[in-house]
Amino acid sequence: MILEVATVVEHRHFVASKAESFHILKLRSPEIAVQAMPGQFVMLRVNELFDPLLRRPFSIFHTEKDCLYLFYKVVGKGTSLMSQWSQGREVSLLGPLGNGFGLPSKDVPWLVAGGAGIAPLFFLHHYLKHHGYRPKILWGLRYRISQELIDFLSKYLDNIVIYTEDGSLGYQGLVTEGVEKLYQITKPSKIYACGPIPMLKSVYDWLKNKDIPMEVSLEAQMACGIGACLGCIIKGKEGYKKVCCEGPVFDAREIKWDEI
Amino acid sequence: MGRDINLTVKLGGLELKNPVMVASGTFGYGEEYSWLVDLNQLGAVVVKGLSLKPKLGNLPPRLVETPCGLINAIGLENIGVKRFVEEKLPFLKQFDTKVIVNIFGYSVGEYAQLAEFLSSASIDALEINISCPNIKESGRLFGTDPKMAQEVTKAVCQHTHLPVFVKLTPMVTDITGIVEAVMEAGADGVSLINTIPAMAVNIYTRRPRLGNVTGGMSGPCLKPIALKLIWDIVQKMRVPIIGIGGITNYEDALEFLIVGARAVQIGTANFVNPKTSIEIIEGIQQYLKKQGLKDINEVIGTLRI
Repeated sequence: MILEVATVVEHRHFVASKAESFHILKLRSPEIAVQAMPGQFVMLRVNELFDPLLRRPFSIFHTEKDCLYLFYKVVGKGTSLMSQWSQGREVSLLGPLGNGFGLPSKDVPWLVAGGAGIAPLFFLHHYLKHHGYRPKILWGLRYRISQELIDFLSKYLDNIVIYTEDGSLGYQGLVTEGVEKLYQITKPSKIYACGPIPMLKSVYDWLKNKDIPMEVSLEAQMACGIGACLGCIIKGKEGYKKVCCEGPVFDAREIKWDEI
Repeated sequence: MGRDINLTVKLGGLELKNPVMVASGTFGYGEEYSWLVDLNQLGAVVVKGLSLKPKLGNLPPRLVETPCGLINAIGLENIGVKRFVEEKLPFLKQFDTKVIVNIFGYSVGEYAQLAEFLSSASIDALEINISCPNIKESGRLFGTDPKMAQEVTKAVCQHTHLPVFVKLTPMVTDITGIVEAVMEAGADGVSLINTIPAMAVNIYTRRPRLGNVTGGMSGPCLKPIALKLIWDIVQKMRVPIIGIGGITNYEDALEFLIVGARAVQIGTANFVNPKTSIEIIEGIQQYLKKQGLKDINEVIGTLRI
């Protein structure tokens, strides 16, 4: 756990009309970057003022030497301010935090993402490939993404299938439908998922009676990120779990899905 | 640095090497932050509020951020006083800092039992929480009625040799009445303010944004309110006061000290910048140096009107 002043190296904005916008922030953060594992996150301080007050948690999207990348979408005040950052800006980061993903026992794992939930799975994809696995990625979006983002991602990802709700890119439909269809052809060794709760629930409901392990990366409002404030708990089968330090990666079977 | 500057403050029977502590509920049991903060430098660590039995806490969501504020409804989740002494205290005792244990109960008897149990543990003081807005059954009831506050404080003081501080809610019409009552009952001082009851609503689901519906507000937006309440007390009586409420830097801390608090607690700011407390200690030293002062006590209670 390191508190580090990182520097913005590059900030890319993938914006196009009638498309989902995403941003990729590259930060030089030497100490955190070398320690980070897929599934871990950082708490980022948006500014030195106190509005917004709290640090924001972000899954680590990618690391490269002394740099780490964050992949985000503008959803509120914090991310809106962040999206205006330019090269050279200093940012206070706390990380790497939380528990990362575990390796699958065999090939082929499936990585199921919804929206910005691709962030930790992108990092995991890279890691799994490095360890000799051939992961498949299924990514669900509401609308298409910009061609620039497709180009950027295809440099790193192979074996990716995209689903959009409006059919403007890839297959039309929900990523969960994609999972079910693919299952009729081939079986995963393990499922890793990150995205909105309804998506995670739906994947879990489909999978729970099958003999397939599943790990999910969850999101919660949090204040400290290190297990002190007890603000980020979710209901697990064995009581409350702290998303920040007992997660954010959980065995899907440990979560009480019908109560969250 | 600052070897010639005295930061020691005395609060009743408790002496601190400097006036900066970390507030209950914002620093876990100390261990969580020990990776980032040198606990040896702190005046004291006030640990998460403890009850006789472990407590599960409130349903999520437990946090809502507001402009310059944070509403929490943790619900005093804690591991219970017994496990604290067995599992958490030994770690804290390795450090050269005072350990203050915040306690809460559901009856006067429970507060007394907590005080008795903790008196045999190796801690330095008790802070009685009679002001948490997140516990329906107890807490605030004791904090808003001078008679009840007095009864709880008396029960605790009769069952311990440790210095006792009473943590107060701002939600009273006359803070000085409560302070008088608890000081008469034997308290060494008071700490204030606890959070201010608050809520937030999701307009799309029309549901409260906290699992507990309401919570307690903390953060920078509280500072002016806390200062004013401390000023109310200072004008009427001379009691050891621990100032709490929205302190984020040494300037904030000094405002409290100048008004008349003898020490301060850093709360929500720990989440934002874990090193806040350490930076405040350094900042106060620098301030004293620049002002040509040698002792923090030359600043405390020196508000010029």
